[in-house]
Amino acid sequence: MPRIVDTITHWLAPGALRRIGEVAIWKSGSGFRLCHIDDVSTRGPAAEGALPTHTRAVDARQIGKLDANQKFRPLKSAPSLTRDWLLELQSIDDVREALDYFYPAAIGLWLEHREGKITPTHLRDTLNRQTGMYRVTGLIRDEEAASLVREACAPENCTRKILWEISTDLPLQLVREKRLESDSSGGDQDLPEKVPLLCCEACNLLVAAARGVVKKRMTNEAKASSPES
Amino acid sequence: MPGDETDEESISGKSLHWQGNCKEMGSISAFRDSWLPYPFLKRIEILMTSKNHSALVIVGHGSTLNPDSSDPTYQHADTIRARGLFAEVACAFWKEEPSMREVLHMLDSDEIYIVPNFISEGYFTREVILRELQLEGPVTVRDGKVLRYCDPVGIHPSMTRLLLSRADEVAPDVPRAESTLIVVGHGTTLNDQSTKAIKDQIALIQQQEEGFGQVIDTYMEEPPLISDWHTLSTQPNVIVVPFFIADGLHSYQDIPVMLGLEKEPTEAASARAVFRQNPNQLHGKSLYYSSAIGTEPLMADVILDQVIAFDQKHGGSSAPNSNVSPLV
Repeated sequence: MPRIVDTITHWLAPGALRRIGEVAIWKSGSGFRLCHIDDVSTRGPAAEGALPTHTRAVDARQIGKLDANQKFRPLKSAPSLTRDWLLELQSIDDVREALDYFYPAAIGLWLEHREGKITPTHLRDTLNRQTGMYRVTGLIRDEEAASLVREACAPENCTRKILWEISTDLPLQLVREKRLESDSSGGDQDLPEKVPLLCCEACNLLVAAARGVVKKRMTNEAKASSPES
Repeated sequence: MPGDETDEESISGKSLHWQGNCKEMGSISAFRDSWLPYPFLKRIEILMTSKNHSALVIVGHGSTLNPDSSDPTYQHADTIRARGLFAEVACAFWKEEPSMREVLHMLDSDEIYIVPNFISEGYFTREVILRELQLEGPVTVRDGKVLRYCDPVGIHPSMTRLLLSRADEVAPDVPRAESTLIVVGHGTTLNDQSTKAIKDQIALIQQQEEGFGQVIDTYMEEPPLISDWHTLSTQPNVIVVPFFIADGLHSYQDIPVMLGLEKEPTEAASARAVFRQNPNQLHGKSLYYSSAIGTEPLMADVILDQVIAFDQKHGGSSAPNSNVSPLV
């Protein structure tokens, strides 16, 4: 059996309620069920008679597409997954597919991180390799970058645990929730009860935000230095 | 295909020729079956045993604003996954998740085919995707994996027939001789390959003498401009097909404004009503506006054709069946 599917199979042992991001998942009869973590009391394993609202892995894509205000969720790790759904799936392959829609690559990244195979890419390296319209992000100053990350990547915007720094010489100062806790490894289990979402390098949303910061500063500097100012 | 009568007959019960056209075939479905470089079953035969330990990654652009941008990439992946040809099928995006830096971590397979769901060669296929996936060229061997980087879907010869199929679909009862077919693209100063891709398609359609009164290319940001469609077109019927991978900011927001269908861009949500109003009476002409060519379900087959083409060119893990003629 392929490694990722095998790992998920063992993770979803009978009687175990697991969590990844805002999704709770458990084995139910011959299949599996998923719901929002805040709906476990009404739709979880103990909720007798809870009826599924969705039955296909691909439904996870639609569930995660828009937030409660019908606004697009391009960032899947934003804490804005809608509630009031119950996804019932028949096979572990379906579960793997659904989890890849809810939290793309999260399981694979966790497994490789646990095996020591993940080398985080620091922010400077991410920005310095950009080209085209994002090339200018390489001009972001350290203090601008630090401030941007603290704001844009705050827990209320993204639930991922940041593994990278500004650079090898400049660590990020982050609130505790944004760092991976030392006791979250799951012991000898490949997947812990609650799988953390890892951020191994800055996403395109942050790169785009960095561009905005630099462009704004450049515009302000140009205005300040123009003869009319 | 000649010599494949059994496969062809089992598909539709009639002999097929891959260079037919819709009017001669008498139905859109027969036309669709006829243009495929490989008949459906032959494509399955080529890929079925040779790719069942491989993964396919379809790379799209995606969007942080438009929820429909990634839909075609996902739908083509769904189609291919359902056929059971690959061990794994995944999507990766520039602007959405999974990113190109993350997608390889969600795959177990040691051989991975990567097909850009892009309309042309250009900045993304020749620079961004290579950089983000850390590719060295057509074949990259890294961390025990073999990464095979295929050509983008938009430059495959099948795209011409896809355009014609879409034109006939959106204006089914309109005589081609009284129609101007307009293929509209972005037009960009970043890289002229996207413009070249469209001009190549126009040239191919003109060469094939498909019966249109006029066939022209237009662009959003460079002349000939789509906003001048009513002065550029010589025919009373005008069929506009956006040469884009997905319906999004351009095809259902910007271009409708440029055509005069909308006064201002609609909100960044699914706004498919603009495609259901055909024909639109504007400037004394009947305007038929199609959704983006990338939404055509048969694009899934073009993705597979690019995998086959890769193996033919670079000697991949599957040798094409010797009975199959090479792609033109």
